[in-house]
Amino acid sequence: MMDPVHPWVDSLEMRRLAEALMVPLSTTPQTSQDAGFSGDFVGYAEGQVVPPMESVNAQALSIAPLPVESPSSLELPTQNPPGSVIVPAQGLNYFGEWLRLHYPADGFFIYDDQGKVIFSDGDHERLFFMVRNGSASDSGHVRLKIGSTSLLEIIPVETMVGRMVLGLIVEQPLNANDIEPLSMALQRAVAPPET
Amino acid sequence: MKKRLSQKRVGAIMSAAFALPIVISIAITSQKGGVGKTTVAINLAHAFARAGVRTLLVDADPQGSVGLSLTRQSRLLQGFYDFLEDPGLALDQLIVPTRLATFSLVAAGQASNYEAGGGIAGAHLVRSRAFMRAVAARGYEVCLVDTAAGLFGVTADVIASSDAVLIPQQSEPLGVRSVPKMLEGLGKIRMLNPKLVVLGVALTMVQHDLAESREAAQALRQLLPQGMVFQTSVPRDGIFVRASAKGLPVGVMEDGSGAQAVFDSLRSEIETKWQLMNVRA
Repeated sequence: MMDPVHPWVDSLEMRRLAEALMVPLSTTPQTSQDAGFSGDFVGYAEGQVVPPMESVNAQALSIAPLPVESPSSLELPTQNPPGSVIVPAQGLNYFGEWLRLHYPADGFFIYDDQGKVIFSDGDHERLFFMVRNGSASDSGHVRLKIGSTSLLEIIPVETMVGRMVLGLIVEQPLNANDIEPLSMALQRAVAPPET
Repeated sequence: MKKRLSQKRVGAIMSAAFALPIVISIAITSQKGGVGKTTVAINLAHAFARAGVRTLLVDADPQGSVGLSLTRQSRLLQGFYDFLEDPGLALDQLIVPTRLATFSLVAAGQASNYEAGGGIAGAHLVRSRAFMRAVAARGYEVCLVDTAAGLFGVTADVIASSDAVLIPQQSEPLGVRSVPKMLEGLGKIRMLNPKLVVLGVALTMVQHDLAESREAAQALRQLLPQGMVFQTSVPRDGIFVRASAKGLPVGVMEDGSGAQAVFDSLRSEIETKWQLMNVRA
């Protein structure tokens, strides 16, 4: 008799999904709610930093910002314009909330491979140019010092809907162990529902 | 000589002193419709209440199945969806007492905007969490929320506001095939609610006299990690239809003791799991 279940499901994937639900998520405490930071770019941070292809200086910050699709709200349009990356708004909402719960970030934004901002939780226009320069290459994770107590972590993420770049404003540098969960969370958040 | 207080009494005093809410909110949800969510919600809530646990059963399914099952006036009552829509509405205005002092209901309500129960997830998260806080402040110990099928819209917000989720799963092949999608959906919602505890899958509508039903149940137990599927399963039984027709939990039916035992067993498993998970945490 034909097995009515096993041929219809990916057993390993099902087990992986189920086991992931039974493992407690890491809970890095949020240490600061202060969203203020200086916009003065004072140089690259020391440590585990891969410099971007093009250098960025303070003058660059005065360049007109890129257009922002959804500048200051978690509410995103449900439909994307033709030709753009199709990003599930619900997924990005979740990602935003998850990020706030798990990382002591003062702000964040995401833009696609075409340089278009697809998500921003605040007024970060001045940083978009820096991110675009910092991630235009395949250089991977980049960290920029953007103020006396502020760092901008630039994390390119390959997702199922295309390459995205996450900009994260933090006071303390992320360690290497933080990058993979962040990337995975964004990948899962924007994965099409049917996958 | 002073009488020594019991540990339980000390805990109660401490909780009162620090106003700590002692409540576990459990969203009862599934990817697929028609799996017996409402039956599980009503009878599990009754099982908790019968055991002396202050229990609130909330109807977050726009179809209003809990209300239609238990109260003839449900279509006139304000309820959960009204709370989401109106920030001025208090939980006290929504609570419907039952003959059992420990058992109260909140109906789905009248707000018509949520007839479909859809929309973008996150849109009602703030109010949904406010609802759960109000439930805790009101002194309930267990809050069971019967949701609409599918992990999106208001249902996603309810899960993201709850302490735990319980997944009724119909014991038939098609139901089991929908499980991966449900697991993936829950994984995404956990991003929003990292503390969400997945209590597990409760097999429903099990037909021991039907090979396909037995095999589906067996397959699910093999496919999912040990402990994720409750040992207790809910059989397909005419008594649930008869109880629903009378607007009663099965335990109140004259011949309902057997069916009630199933839900007492499920309640016991949940309590054990919850304690174990809290110990681990």
